[in-house]
Amino acid sequence: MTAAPPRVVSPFEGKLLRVLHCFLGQVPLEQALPVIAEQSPRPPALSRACVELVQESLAKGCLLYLVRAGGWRRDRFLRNGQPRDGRLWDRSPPEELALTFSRHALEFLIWITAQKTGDTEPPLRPPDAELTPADRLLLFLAHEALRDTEAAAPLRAKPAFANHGLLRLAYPDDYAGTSAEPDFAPWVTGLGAVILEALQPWLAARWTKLVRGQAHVGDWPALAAQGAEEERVLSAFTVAAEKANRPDVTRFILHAAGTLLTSDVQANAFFAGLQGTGPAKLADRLEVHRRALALPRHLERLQAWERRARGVGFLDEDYAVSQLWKSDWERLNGDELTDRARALVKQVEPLKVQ
Amino acid sequence: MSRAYRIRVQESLRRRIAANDEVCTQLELLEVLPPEQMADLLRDELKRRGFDDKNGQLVREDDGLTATIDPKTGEVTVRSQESEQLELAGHREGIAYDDLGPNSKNVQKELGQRLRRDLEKQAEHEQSKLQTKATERLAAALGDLEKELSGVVNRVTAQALKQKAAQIGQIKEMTEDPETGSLTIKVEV
Repeated sequence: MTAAPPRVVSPFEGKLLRVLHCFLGQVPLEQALPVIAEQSPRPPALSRACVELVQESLAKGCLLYLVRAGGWRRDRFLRNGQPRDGRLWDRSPPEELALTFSRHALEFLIWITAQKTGDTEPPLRPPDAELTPADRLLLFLAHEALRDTEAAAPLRAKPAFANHGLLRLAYPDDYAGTSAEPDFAPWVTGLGAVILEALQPWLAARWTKLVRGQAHVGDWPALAAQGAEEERVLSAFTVAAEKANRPDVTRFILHAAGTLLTSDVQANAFFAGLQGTGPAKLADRLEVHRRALALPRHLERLQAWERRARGVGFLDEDYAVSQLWKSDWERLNGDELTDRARALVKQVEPLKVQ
Repeated sequence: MSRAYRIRVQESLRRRIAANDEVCTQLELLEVLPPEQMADLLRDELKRRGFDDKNGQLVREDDGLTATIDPKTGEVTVRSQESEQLELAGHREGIAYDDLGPNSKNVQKELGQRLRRDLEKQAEHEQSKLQTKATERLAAALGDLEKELSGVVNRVTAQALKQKAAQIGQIKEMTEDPETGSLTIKVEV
């Protein structure tokens, strides 16, 4: 048996594949960064060999990423209002897990290979309605790979990245001060929600790191902006999850809170790095401290779901959904965490009345 | 031969400066009775302590410090305000080589501009001092207010418990310990 001969691609196509493999975590960033930082003449079309290689890389690479991020874990999530156990591929039939990429994925890869991320012409404006969940996952992976480079900031300013719900949920620190509203609708239904399920452990770890990192922020307005963005995305995401009847996709918040809100945690841990005395007004200083506690404060909202779930009867429509949230809440010590969160919130209040 | 003239410019700045600061918090009242009745009890207790009812809000003003409580929601706002009339004056001197000509006018203009900038800086400094004063005044008042409002909450809760007990049955015995705040009510149902 003879192996198929290697496919031949043009130099531009080679660069494009290097960038894609970097996004998928298969090539070090150093190898792709020179390509992204420079402009390359855009070819009129890509060869069939290149397109097939892109398709193959996207299909295998994205799936591998999701499986490694958490899709391999046995877990329980909702499917059509009923809890379903197992690994990612056990919970949904294969046809529902298919990652379908539109032409916009390929156009994005051509654009980022040919242009610098700060270029405005030709514009990167994929129509939001035409983006598939898989396309959005590719944009997420692109940002994740480039996050610590100069290329990321201009990318975040582009609409496809500025409104990207998953990016906003994962990186509120990067999006602090952004005026664009995050769009979570694609991430709480269909394949988007399946992707979010796979990313639950990753999101919990990310939020843990994010909140712990607040202790290293020395600038008062910067911490206030980050806290405001954390509050904004948690709130908007929770609203979207509630609307889609998918409380289970917010589970990562409880996991992160479980790690952060230890029995001896003090409010100061959330803003210990602040330098100087801060704003002259007590009201402004208090506002920064309150914002820094965005995640603990959000637990009250999730507790309200649990309280409501207690009242849902066996014959009610959302019984299974409510039961799953109640079981998640109990398993992850939701009440105890909310009590600790309340105590933290009280610690920063200058006027405590009880 | 040119001769040096001493140019003297005087400016004054009069302005009313104001500073304020505020904190908000929430009174946590146990729902012993329906919310409307709890609000009534809270309103009565606050009035007893010198608060005035202004359009449903209980307000007490004390020399620039205003405490406002909404008895329906339990929201408490404490605001401190300071203001003062600022009167600053200054002068600057410079040298010009004519007493009425263009050099003198330029020197005068420049001295005037510098002087105004100095006065503005002084005004900013005064504003900042006034802000510090307002904030310190607020912070100092919070301790006493905290104790007073805790007392209000305890008293309202005690009143509500008494009313609730009376609704349940006939009160046989009631002991109150003002030091610990404990209240024991024996009811015959």
